[in-house]
Amino acid sequence: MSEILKTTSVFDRLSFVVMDDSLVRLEHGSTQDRVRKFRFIEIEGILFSRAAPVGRLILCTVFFILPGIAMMLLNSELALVMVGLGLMVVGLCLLVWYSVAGRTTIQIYRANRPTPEKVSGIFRPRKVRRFRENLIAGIQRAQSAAALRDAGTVQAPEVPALDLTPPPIPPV
Amino acid sequence: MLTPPYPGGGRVVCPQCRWTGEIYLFKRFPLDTAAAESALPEDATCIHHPTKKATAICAGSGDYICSLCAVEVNGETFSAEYLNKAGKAKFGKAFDRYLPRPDSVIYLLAITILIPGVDYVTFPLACVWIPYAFFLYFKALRMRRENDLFRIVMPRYRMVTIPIYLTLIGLAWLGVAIAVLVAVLSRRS
Repeated sequence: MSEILKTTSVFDRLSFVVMDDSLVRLEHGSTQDRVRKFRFIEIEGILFSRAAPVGRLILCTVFFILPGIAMMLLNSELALVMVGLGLMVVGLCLLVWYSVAGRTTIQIYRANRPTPEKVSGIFRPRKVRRFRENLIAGIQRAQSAAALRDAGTVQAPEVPALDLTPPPIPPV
Repeated sequence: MLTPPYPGGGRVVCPQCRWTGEIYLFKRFPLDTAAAESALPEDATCIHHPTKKATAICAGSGDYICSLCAVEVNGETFSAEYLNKAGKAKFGKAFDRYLPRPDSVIYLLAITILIPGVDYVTFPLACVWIPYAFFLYFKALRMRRENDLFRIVMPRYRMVTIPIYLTLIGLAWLGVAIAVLVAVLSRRS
């Protein structure tokens, strides 16, 4: 049931964990993690989107593939050609990985909160799919249980405050 | 306005910007707040809800507050208004929850011997911090048994790799210590 989604970012290390009754956001520190818990019944919307990580693709091309091609074409020594080939293979592997995984953004909207909780990163597609399935199943289960609980309890009508103002004096 | 496909939501495409994504909408539940009692004419009333009966006094501002406004922090009752304004700096941290990560501390200690310059200090002191790291490891194992969240967060492979790292560092330290001892003794003799 529980599923964890961890960002790969160096500066903003976050994890989202799907628990039985809540979604937990962990802000990782060096010795402890800050825990924020969002109950499933508070969640009223989730948005998943996926886009190509353009910045990473460009960096990968500039730092791996282009230098690799240049080393292969401009050198005649076997060692340098092999290094260039290695760089190019690494670059191509990264390029394929970034293209397949994409950059996934998940926004979680909670009741009475204007700003969503947002997590963005490059995750394995299978992991995102499992996370989504577990999260949605958990929310649906929690909310149907809450709806059943609400239906079983009878709400007492609110008693209005006593009106003690004297009635108007009828005209003579 | 994007309309998610019902039931349960799913993939949507924005007709204007061609943005694609998945939207899931759920039922909106009312906030679970205790109903505050309405005030009678002789009752003290809440400063923020004039029709509600005051049930407590805010420990920060001294105002009468009703059960809707009352928030208990460290055994004292404060009004939500006070916590949001004057008490924000003082009590903002009171609502934070932290999960200790002994496994991260162990990794932090183990990494220091790989940093040039820092290793001159940390490697000779390995005989001090390795027992401490093993203590933290057993603490992590206990937390893993007791805390569901920690069990998910601490990967299973760390249970195996941490003692291996620590043992290797300990053996390396022991080897260097023996070599230094032998060198000193042979020089004396």
